[in-house]
Amino acid sequence: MRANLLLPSPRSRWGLGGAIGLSLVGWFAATTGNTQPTGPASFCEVYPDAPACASGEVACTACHTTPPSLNLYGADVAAALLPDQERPLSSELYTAHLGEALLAVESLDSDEDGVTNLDEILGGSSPSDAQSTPAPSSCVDEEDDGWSLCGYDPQYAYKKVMLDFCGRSPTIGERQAFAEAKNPTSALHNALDECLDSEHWRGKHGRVWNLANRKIGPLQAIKSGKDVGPIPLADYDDDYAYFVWTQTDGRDVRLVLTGQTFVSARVDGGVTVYEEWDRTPDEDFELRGYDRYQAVVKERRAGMLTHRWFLMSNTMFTSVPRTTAAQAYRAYLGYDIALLEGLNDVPGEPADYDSKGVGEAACAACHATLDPLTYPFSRYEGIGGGVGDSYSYSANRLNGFTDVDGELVAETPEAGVLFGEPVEDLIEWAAVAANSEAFRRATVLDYWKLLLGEAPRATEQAEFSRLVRDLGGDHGYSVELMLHDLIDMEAYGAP
Amino acid sequence: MRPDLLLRGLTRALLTVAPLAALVFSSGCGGDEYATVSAKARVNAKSGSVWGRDLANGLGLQEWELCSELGAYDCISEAHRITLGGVEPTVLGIDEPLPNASVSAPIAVDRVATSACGLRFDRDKAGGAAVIFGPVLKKDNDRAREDVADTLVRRLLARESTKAELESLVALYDTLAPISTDLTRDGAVGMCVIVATSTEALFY
Repeated sequence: MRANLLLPSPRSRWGLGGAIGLSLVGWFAATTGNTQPTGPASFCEVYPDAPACASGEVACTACHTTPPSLNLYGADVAAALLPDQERPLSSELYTAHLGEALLAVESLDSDEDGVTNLDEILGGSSPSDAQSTPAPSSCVDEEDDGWSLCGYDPQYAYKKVMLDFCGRSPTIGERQAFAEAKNPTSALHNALDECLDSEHWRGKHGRVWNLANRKIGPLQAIKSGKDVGPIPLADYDDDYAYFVWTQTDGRDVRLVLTGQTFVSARVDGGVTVYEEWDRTPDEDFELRGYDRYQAVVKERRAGMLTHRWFLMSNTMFTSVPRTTAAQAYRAYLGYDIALLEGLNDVPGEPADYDSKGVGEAACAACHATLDPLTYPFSRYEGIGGGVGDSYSYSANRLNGFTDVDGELVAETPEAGVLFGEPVEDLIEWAAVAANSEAFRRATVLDYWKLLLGEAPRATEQAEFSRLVRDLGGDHGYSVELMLHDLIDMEAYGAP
Repeated sequence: MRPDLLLRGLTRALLTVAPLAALVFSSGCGGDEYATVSAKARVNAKSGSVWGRDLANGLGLQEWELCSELGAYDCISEAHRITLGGVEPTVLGIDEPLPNASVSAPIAVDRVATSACGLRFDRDKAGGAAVIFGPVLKKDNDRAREDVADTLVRRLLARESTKAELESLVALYDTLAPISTDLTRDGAVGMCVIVATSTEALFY
């Protein structure tokens, strides 16, 4: 139901009532520096029937290109929002009048594609993209070309499964066999099972392996181990192998953040074999040497967040390793703080223990979230600067930074806050993260984009949201079970 | 004839006729006027490695045999890796395929296809059991050309050919005839390149 709009709606389906109760600072960043990205939720309170609101919140890109920059539709909304009022607007004014602005631009055609903004929103297309218009209400497929264009086509899905997961087209014989299968659904899932074991999918440098590129950020020049670089600092092969291992064979994908063992990858007869291993830092030092050993003791490990490469490449020499936390937030939870995503202000923050000036208003907007997000990472050594061995856990690590960052840095707590929930240390941080909706969403989105080439379209939000929900339910956090569901969806199988 | 001149002549001829044939293969069902329209219109490009694998499977070659620049750099995994939709995160920092095909992508595709199709022809001609081009090597007439065209569609696109496709491919010979000194080879390799670089072969 549409709620708490100051103007009555001419359309009965929306009705009135309730309260938006919005804290709409941040959707248009010009209103205030204290950002809180609740605009997407408010949009969906106005347009609850819009396909883009199937998950409860519309994407930031409904109004923005990259926040705070506005797209065509967002610019029209901004222009219609109390146009005579001096900028920046207070959050109160913004909250009270956003609904009017949304209504005011409904009849406009911001992207000049011949469809009004309202029809685009309700039809599931973007009012800011002239290439995006609502799909025809009725599908006509009169061609006898072997494809079913008006819905899920098992033949098309089969070909796509073979290409996506096996890395090759089916032969004409395989296509004919599939067409003659008594149970196409079963045949399709059998094909997927077979392809999930292919080198193309799970092998070294395969698709799942490369899915980790942005999470790991490899750099050969500082790699140790195989293909060693000129300045060997850490071996990201450990990270890649561990990542693929967590995504395959029905394992619990949360292990990517919570696991306390390691995994190696070796190629045997053209097949990549992943093997779990567990050694103490001393044992690993003895076996693999100074350039490669994993230095965090088992009880302080949190999946890839405490791998040597992650700490080396992100924490480096910093006391309060904000880059490390920001990368974890971006890579595994889908929130890029640099884009004002995932901001949840913590009262009293940022305390600025390391005297970097982050309490300034322009900085605090993000650091009120980022700094308490970071504290649990502060006891893990980077390349240097602390008190313990590089890449290890040291409870008193920050004592090593007082001469550089001031005495106060030693008082930085290990406890922090993630998604508004207090956490004692990084182990708790990882547990909260791994069990969050954000983690499931980011995980599903990775595979959705890998297989479909783009983020879910507005009309696909319901299917996408179901996958996100079920990953933590019916799928038991198994990526492979989630993929079995995904290939049955119209988004995947409609030509 | 010098190989470089032959290649130049073939390329010029393909530039002339390929767009016509491409029209046929872009829809996969006999020409633009018959093209069905997908409501979703979601098309993914095959990565170079996947396209190369399909090409190798279709032509009965090993992937590493398809094409090599300067005789030293594999076209797909090395020389044109990024251009053909690959990644190279550890040195170049390219974590994901380029969002849009680069201007050199069609050139790279043509080079790989021309090399691979030429190799297949030469192997078939060298003796043994011909994989694709046997009919025209035995007797180069319209019937043989149509047989080869049909085999190319079946092996490279994994489906039955249409009459319009076969006619369009065989028509390539008419265009090549005035400029080719080896019409059997140029025509056969030309048909192969057109099918291998068709929209249907490159996207899914």
